Amino acid sequence: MTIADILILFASAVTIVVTAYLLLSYIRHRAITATNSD
Amino acid sequence: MLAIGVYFFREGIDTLDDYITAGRNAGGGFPMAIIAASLLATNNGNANVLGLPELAFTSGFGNLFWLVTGVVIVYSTMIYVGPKLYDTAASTLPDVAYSVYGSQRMRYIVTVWGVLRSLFFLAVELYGTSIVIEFIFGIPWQQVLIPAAIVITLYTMLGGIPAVGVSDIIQWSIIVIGTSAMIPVLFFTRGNFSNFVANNTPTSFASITPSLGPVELFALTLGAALWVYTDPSFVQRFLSARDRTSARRGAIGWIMVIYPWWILMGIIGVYGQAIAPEAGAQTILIAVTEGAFPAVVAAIVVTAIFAGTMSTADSQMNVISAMLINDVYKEFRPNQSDVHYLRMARFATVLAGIGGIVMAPLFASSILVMSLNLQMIFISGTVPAVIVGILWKGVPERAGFYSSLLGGGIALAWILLYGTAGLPVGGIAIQAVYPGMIVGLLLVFGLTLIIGRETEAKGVSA
Repeated sequence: MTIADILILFASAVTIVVTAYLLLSYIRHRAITATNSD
Repeated sequence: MLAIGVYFFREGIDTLDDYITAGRNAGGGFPMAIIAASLLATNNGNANVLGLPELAFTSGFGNLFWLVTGVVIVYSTMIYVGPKLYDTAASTLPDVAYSVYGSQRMRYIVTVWGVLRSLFFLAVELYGTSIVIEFIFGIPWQQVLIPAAIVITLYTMLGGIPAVGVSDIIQWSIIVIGTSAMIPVLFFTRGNFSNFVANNTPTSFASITPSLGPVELFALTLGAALWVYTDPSFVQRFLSARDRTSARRGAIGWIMVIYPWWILMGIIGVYGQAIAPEAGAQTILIAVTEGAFPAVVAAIVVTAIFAGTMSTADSQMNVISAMLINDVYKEFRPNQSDVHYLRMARFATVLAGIGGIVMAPLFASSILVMSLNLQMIFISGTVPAVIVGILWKGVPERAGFYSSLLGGGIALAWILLYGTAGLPVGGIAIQAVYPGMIVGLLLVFGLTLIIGRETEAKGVSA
């Protein structure tokens, strides 16, 4: 496996991990907002 | 998507501010996660989801690598410009122009450029979705167009920008599952990138050495990047931010993902040259999916393509509605109730959907060309006037107005004279966006220096 292959896999991981973070961050935001409005 | 639209219709949309800026003025607004995901989803419709693998498939990885690198460098400046847009406290792009210049005619001219451009982009996305469905399922695109547009129009009309934002984060997640997650699967099923493409593609096809020259790459980069500063749907995200920090962090999140994702889409195109060299370039993503993955994975990828289209189309519908009501209707019928404006905004969303449905078949064979033309006119007519006005305090109204009018006008005239491809000069084609931008910049800077910068406060946004 070359450096290019490692970078490609790293890029794939970055997009997946950051997207998951955005999704979870939004879910957390909604949960906090719902709690504050109760 | 429809469920999201219904949810926000029932729970969260009471005012025009809720509908077009997620209630920013009433303490609401988007958190950074929605801004980042919404920018990603809106940025990547059919043109990128299908077009980036197509570019790599036809011309190798090198051109795509340098093009996306240059574009992302330009995009990165939005980390600085995005919060500046938020600071205007405006509700739409034309409203930004009004808040900068205090001028109704600036509001109207930016509305004209913006609505026209967004309408054509909407038609391109709807048409693109229908063509993809026709390719995959064999259903004629004319029979797909109306149902697809109805679904998108419905949830956008019901839930406004909150529904659009939340659907964007879901659609972007689907896009990533269907594309980024494909890479490890390709490594596992076909072998790692270096070995597989070295044995199955022409020499240097996968290298980062471009086949285009630096001048051409620079020209392509500018043409592919400059629109981001004043794209109405992009601007709407920053205007809908909860606060300045969310706007900036949202831009950072967008940049962190867009660059590796674009690279990966190019990698998929190169794999396509190795897996299905005889396939059609425009649908190489689908060919790679069908050739490499089981049906379930292929279904996810196809869903990702639809998600890309939906996420761009809904943004265009919402922002067309926002500009028509906030910047035109409210000016001619002020002092109406918020409920009334909200109702009209929903009606305008439906009108936008109908406009997209009507325009797509009318211009089917030439719609991409026409949207490229509108893009160039729009960039020339808005980027110099609006962005220079935001960044350089005191630009006089006449400088902004004539920059917008004549910058866009020169681009239009250039297209009428030389077409979309532009004027060939010494082996390079000078497209309309270049003279348009040059004239726009010369006017905004030149007239400011001649007239002198203004020190009085400008208009307050509507």
